[in-house]
Order: sequence, then C-alpha cells, then structure tokens
Amino acid sequence: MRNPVIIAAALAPLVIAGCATQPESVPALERARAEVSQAESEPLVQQAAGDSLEDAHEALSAAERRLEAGEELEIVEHYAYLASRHAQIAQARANEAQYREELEKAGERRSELLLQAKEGEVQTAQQAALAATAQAESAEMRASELERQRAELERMQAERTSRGYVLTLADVLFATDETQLQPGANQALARLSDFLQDNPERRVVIEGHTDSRGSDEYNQRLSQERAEAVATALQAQGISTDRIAVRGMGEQYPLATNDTSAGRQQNRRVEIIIPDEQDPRSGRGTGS
Amino acid sequence: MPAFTHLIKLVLPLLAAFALAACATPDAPSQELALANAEIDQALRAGATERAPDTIADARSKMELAQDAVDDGEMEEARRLAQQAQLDARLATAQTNAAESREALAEVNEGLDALRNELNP
Repeated sequence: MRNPVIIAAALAPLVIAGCATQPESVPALERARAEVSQAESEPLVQQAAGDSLEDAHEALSAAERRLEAGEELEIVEHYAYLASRHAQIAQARANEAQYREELEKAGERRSELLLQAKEGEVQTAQQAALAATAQAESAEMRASELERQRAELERMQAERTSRGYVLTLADVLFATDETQLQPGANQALARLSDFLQDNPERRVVIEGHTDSRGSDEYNQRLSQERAEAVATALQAQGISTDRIAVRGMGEQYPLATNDTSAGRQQNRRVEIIIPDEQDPRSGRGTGS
Repeated sequence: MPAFTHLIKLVLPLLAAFALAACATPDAPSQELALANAEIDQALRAGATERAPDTIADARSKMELAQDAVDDGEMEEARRLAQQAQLDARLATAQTNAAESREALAEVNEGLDALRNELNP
C-alpha cells in the first residue's frame, strides 16, 4: 500500500514545473540590461533621474530572480519591460534637465544682450541729446548773431528794405559834381567797414544815383564814379574788393521829384546795399 | 486495481488544489488600473498626444488589453498590463516635457540670433 501523500508530494513538482518554461536567454531581458547599463553610464542621467535608475535596477533584479526561479517567460519579460521603461524614463528626464539648463543659460545671455543693447541705446540717446543740444546752441548763437548785426545795421541808420539793408550816403558827402568823398563820409563808412569786418560773410553793392540834370551819359558816368569812390574808401578801410560790387545807375531811379532843388538833392545819392545773407538778389539792375 | 483508483481519487483533488494554489489569482487589480489611468490622464494633460504620440498610444492600447484581461478573468495578466501601461504613460509624460523644453530652447536661441544680428549688423 503506497502512501498517497508521498505520491502526491512526488507528483506535485511535475505539476508546478508544468507551468514554467525556461529558455536559455530572454531577448527582452538582455535588451533591458543593455538599456539600464547605458542609462547609468551617463552622469547627467545619474544626476537628474537617480530614482528612475533605482527603479530600473529593482525591476531588472526582479526579472533575473524570476528567471532563476524558473518562472513563466511572460513574467520575466514583464519585469524586463518595466526595467526598460524605467531606463527610458530616466533618459527622457535627463534630456529635459539638460534642455532646461541650456534654456536658463540662453535666458541669461538674452538678458546680457538686452542690457548691452539698452546701454547702447542709452549711449546713443545720450549722443543724440548732446548733438541736439549742440545744434540748439549753435542755432541760438546764430539767432543772436543776426540780432546783433541787425542792431548794428540800424545804428548805422541803414534802412530795411526788400533788397536788404540800405545805407544811403547823401549828396553833401560829395562836392558838387565831384566824385571825391568829403571827409565826413569816412565816419559813416567807418561803421560800415567795422560791420563788414565783424561779419566777413556779408558783402555790399554800391549804387550811385544822380538827379536828372545833365545828359543820361553824363549822369551814368558820374554815378559810376561816385560809387567807385565809395568802394575805394571801403577798400582803404580793409574791405576786400571781392566783397564790393559797384554800379552806376544814372538818373534812372529818382527818390523824389527832379522839379525842386530839394528833390534833386535827394536824388543825388549813393546807396550801399547790404543784401540779406544768401540772397542772390543784389540790388536793382540786371539781376533778378 | 481498486487501490490505484482509490489513489487517483485521493491525489487528484490534492493536485488540483496545488495547481490552483500555484496559479491562483487575486481579485481584479483595481489599484494598478487606477494608477495607470491616472498617469495616462496626466500624460494627456501634458500634451503627450502631440509630442509623444506613439508612447501614449502604447499606454492606451495596453489599458484596453488590461480591461479585456479583467473581463476574461485573467487578473494577473491584467495587473501586469496595467503596470506596463502606467510606465508607458510616465515615459510619454517625460518625453513630452523634454520635447517642450527642447522647443522652448530652440525658440530662445532663434531670438538670441535675431538679437545678436540687430546689435551687430
């Protein structure tokens, strides 16, 4: 009589063994080993995803244990799969950590550049401000300069006309029918020459005029010579000839009637025109 | 022989009990299923559909298989599938986050290049 328990005990291992298959190698497990080994070889992965690596190791050990214990392939592969996924998660987390680090650096670089740009902008703005101030100052100087000139011209009793300022030398400054300037003229001219010396860019047009007594030819020549006399006087006071234009206008432009002696005296004059700066017009005559 | 028949009758139930004990299954793996679903939801919220489509698809199809296994009474298999799906989802999230960071970095680098060009024409 055989003991049924002993037989059952003898048969039991066969039943349990029947649930397991034990292949030589499990590809999924080998893959998992390789992935885990790869992941932990990278320092950044260790740093950024240490706990994922631990989980990977745990799963790997479980797979190895189950394999040795002769458990089902399905189970061994399951733990191998988990190990692989843990390793992959570790890699992905490490990648993210690296991108974030570079993102931070790039952000810092951007701030630096923006700061530089801002400083550059500030500098540019400062330079622009300086330039603007300089411009404004010179414009101011210009304006006050013109003001000064105007005052000077008015002190000379030069008249403001559409042609510019006009200084009129009266007949009395010439002896009758003479072309030589009387001494009194020099005082009037002195102020003018001072003005011209102070303002080297200004020039003058000297126009001689006569009354209607005498022929046109005579008056033309007389007016020309009187104008030239004034020009010579100015030159003597240091004004260069290229700043002086001379014209004889004859009897063509009377100021007053030629029927009275007072009127004729008015007409006998020399006009010194100081054209406005950059004014292409220069008195009457052929110019535009 | 009657003794043998008696033996079989005695041993077979024992063997059956052993067999059942060896391959016994617990109840449905509700905890594992819940954890897996939670991580899938998280991955989807992170944007895994756009940035880690294959991985999240793995997770979801595994969950379907897990549910089928539960319906078939294969609880151990269901548990394993749920655990795998959970890690699939976790990987999808990690991949999505990495992709987002990479894209953000590319954008900032582009901006940096443009800024550099502006400053040093």
